Amino acid sequence: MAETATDWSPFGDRGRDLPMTREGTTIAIAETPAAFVLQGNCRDDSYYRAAEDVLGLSLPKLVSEVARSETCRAFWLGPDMWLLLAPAAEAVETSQKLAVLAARFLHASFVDTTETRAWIRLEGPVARQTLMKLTARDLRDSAFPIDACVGALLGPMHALIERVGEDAYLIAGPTSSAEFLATMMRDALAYA
Amino acid sequence: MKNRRLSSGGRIDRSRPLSFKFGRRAYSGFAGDTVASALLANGVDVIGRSFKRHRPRGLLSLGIEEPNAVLNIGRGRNGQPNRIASEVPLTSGLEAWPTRGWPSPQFDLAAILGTWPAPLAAGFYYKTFMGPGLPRALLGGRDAWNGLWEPVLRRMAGQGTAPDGIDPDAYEHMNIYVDVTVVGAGLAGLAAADTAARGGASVAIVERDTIPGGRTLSAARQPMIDGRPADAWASDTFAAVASNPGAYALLRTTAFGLYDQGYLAAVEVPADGKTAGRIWHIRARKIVLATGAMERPMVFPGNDRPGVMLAGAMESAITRYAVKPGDRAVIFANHRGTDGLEAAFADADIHVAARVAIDETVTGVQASRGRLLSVDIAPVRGGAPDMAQRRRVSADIMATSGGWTPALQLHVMTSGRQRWDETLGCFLADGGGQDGILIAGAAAGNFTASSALADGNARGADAAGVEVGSILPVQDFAGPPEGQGIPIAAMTNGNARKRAFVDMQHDVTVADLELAAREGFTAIEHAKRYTTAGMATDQGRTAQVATAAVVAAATGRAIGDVGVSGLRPPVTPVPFGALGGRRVGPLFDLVRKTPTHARQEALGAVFEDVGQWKRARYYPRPSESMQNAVARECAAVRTSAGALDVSTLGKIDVQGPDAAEFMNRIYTNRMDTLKPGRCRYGLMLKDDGMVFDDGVVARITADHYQLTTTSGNAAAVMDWLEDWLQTEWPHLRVRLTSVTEQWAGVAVAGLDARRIVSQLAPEADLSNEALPHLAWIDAEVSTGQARIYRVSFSGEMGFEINVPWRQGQALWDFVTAAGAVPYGTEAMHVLRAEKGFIVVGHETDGTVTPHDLGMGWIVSAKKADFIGKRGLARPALIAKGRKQLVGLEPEDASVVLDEGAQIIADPNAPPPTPMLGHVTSSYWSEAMGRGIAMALVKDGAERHGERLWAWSLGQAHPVLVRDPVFYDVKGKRMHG
Repeated sequence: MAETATDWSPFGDRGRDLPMTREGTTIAIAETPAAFVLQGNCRDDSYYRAAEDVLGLSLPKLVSEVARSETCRAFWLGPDMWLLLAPAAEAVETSQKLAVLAARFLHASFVDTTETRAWIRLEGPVARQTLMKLTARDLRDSAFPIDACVGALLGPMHALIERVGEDAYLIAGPTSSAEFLATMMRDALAYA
Repeated sequence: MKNRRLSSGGRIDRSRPLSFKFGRRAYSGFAGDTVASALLANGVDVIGRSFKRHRPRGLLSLGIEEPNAVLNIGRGRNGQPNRIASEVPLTSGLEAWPTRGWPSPQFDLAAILGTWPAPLAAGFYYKTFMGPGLPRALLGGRDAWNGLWEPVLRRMAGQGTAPDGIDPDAYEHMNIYVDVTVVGAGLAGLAAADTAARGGASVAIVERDTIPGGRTLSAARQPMIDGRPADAWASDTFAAVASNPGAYALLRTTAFGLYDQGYLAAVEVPADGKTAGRIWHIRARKIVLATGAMERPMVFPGNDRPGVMLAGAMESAITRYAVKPGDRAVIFANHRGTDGLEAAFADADIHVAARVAIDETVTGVQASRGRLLSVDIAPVRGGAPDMAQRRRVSADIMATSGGWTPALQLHVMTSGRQRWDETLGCFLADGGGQDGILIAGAAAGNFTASSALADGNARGADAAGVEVGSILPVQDFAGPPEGQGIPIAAMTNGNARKRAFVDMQHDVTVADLELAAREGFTAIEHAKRYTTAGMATDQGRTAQVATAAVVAAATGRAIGDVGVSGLRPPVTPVPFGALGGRRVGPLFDLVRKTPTHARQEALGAVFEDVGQWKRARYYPRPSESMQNAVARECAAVRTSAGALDVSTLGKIDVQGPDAAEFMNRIYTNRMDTLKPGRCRYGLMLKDDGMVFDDGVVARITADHYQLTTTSGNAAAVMDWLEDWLQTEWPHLRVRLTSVTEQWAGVAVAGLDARRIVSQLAPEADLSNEALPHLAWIDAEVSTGQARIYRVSFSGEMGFEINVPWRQGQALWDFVTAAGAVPYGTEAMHVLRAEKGFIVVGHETDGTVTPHDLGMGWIVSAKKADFIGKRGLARPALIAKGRKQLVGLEPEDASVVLDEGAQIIADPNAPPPTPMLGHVTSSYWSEAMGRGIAMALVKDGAERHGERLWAWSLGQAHPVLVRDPVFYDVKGKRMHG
């Protein structure tokens, strides 16, 4: 092989432009977590209980809610759908847990989607202002507190935006558009 | 030209002189000027020529309602047409250009049109120039309209010059949420914003002017608010509102559209210069429209002459901009609210030569070189001017006021209604529109400072859901313009009606509207469209009520019964660059790249857009043409092996106990009989029976499938499947997940493909017995885990290897290093066309059934149901005469037909020639040594062996109709 798989970055040449700092605010490539889409019947309480037993967290039931365990977190993607994120090193172990969970419920499934997203961290005093240039989502504290996550249009791209601190966000866009995401974020910060 | 700047006063900064150009001449002004006020100060009376008649026009107003002074600001790439001179702050080095007038606005050769108005009457476009008139041969084969009149008229009547290159300026967008949005920072708007903010609401206040205060900025005498002059109160209150947490106080920002759910769009010209424009998307629970009111002109013969201005504009010129517009004035108003104007005239030492009394009218004006000389005034007797008593008054300016019209454009845009108020003489908001929209101040008919402030307080409290606080004491300077009548003065005679302008920007006269009424266009919307009154970029702000009044008089109705026309965004012209924001250049649209993109770039690939994907179309070597490159790539696949990046194919994971039933319902063929470890080509239809998409379905386990879609259709297919699952079949226990970017894919095809894939997966058994055509296996490959599908889209033995996305480049490197020749989508299309394989979007266009494509074999007759089954059974879809897929061989083997070429039976038949079909795909086939094509042809399946013609761009080529499979008819090669 001319190059190992781990050498390749979805950010391509744009990855070399990161991190970028302006006005005390930084855009940087973030680590890619293992990511699994869970689907199951939201009206089945036993599914929630089983998920809590297996994963150590209670799957969120409300829009933009995020549940956390010691190492994992789960985003609400829809009434019957969640995104479970785990450290990359725990991908296999998490997958095995999810297989156990799915096997117990006919309505449940899980799919590894780790590869489908590229992650960026945006942090600093003008971080929110930078995002406000790109998304019509309400980012005020009252609507988007710390530890919330929303699926939103970011420019022309569907992305997940997770608020991880007062002025800190994790943004996940499609892997195929990682270069575009980096270019767009840099551009937005440049005008912030 | 006369310098008309007063030696003192105004809200201009005399310490900051600014030079600018209007046309080719240089002028100077001051910071705080607009282009309009600076031109007025420099004695420029004629700022442009009118739209149709090229009459000389000067400034009518000094606000957003200005109909005449519409200029080009800047030139070349920086040029901006449709800019209202009174809305453009003066900056150093600014270049403004008149929109019309050749060689200059002052001397315009096309002014001849103004002396010959009859052909330019209402509806002249519809009545004139439509016939052939001149022989087509003289007009390049075009009719008279397209060949002559339209280009000539466009040149004469244009509304500005488009930039001649890409706009070099940067623009951006900003999204904000607040509790209350207030549009307008006049007294009412400020009171509303202040009250709402004090009530705990987060507030955005949007003001198009550079400073807050609204009409107080132009008032010769300030009302007093709580013991302070109103302008000082406005400045302090604006600052106080801006200081609240979460507040946005935006100056130089024009609200141009109001949409559903409290969404307001506004465009800012930032003072900081970071960007040339910023669009604000403001969402709020409540919106207070404190948009003020527009003064309207009187309508009388010659009312469009330079020197005739709105009374408020004259007051503003003197008070705000320290410009003395003239020396001798006539005042013509239909109300008594001109105290401020008279005070301003006194301040500027302007002699009032005459005040046209309530029982008098103006019958004409005299002007020379665009400058007013005198005004004819006559008493009105029995509803008509008594011309015998007419007197001529020498004057160089004339201030007119036909009353005030609340600015309700944003209200109307949300389907808000209006009603005529006889007492106030204007249209007021009358319900309708969206919930949560409140109207305050002059926009609600509260024309005095005290009533506007009280109303603003009340609406601000309503918006914030709090009690109205203490009302500040206000001392009005002037009373309201009570008793304002309809702004139509009596016309002297029929000819004069042709010189009395209602809509100045579109040159619509009283006579035009009366003609429209006589011809049956009596509804206000019809009259608007027939005469174009209210259709210019000013949206007829100064014309609205006069238009209704003329139509009412002409049809014997009350003005309230006639009403006013609807309006749509934008309220005022918005630069396209601002609307685009940062979505330009590399950010214009989302770009999706596969993990091999960098490698393909390094190979010199020429890319094409497939949906948002960048796909390599072909890989030209140095000095190699596209045709040669594609031929070489095709030959590699046919003779050794090629590698194609297929990562872009949509991929959907389908799981659940009812997955087999679901798959059976969405494809035309059976998927429940597919065994785990095997895959099958499938066709999806829309419910009307037309082909929607195709792809390969792999069964992973009994309750687990993975399907592929076409690259550009993946999202649409996912939506389609979720739609059925969630709304029609919610009882099916099936879960869908998009995994397009979980898996990168490379197709390796050709005689040498098995050897290459064997090197990649040395432990895997790739024999025909272990992995036959349309089977799949999971295998360990050198990059990690992979799924290998035995499928072919080229007709050769083929393997599609899927690996996790981030390993895609390594996979590509391996197979190309092992000898697979990269081939692009163009070669792929040639290879599949040689085999007669369809491509959705080429051979289908939403009107094509599987039977039309000769693919009846894939439509199950045994399944109880599938999407499209009943649609397919409709008589029209099984009747004779449908277009069916055929292959075409041009008789001249060297010819490659144009895609889209029309199929006809006889090129010499007299027109109209019956069209039998069209070419859907056409290529040069190296393998066949000739041009080949596929086409949809009427009853094509019965025409094999027939000679038809393919016609395109004036050329007809004879073609032989045949079966669409050109190469390896028995399909032995792909089975290895």
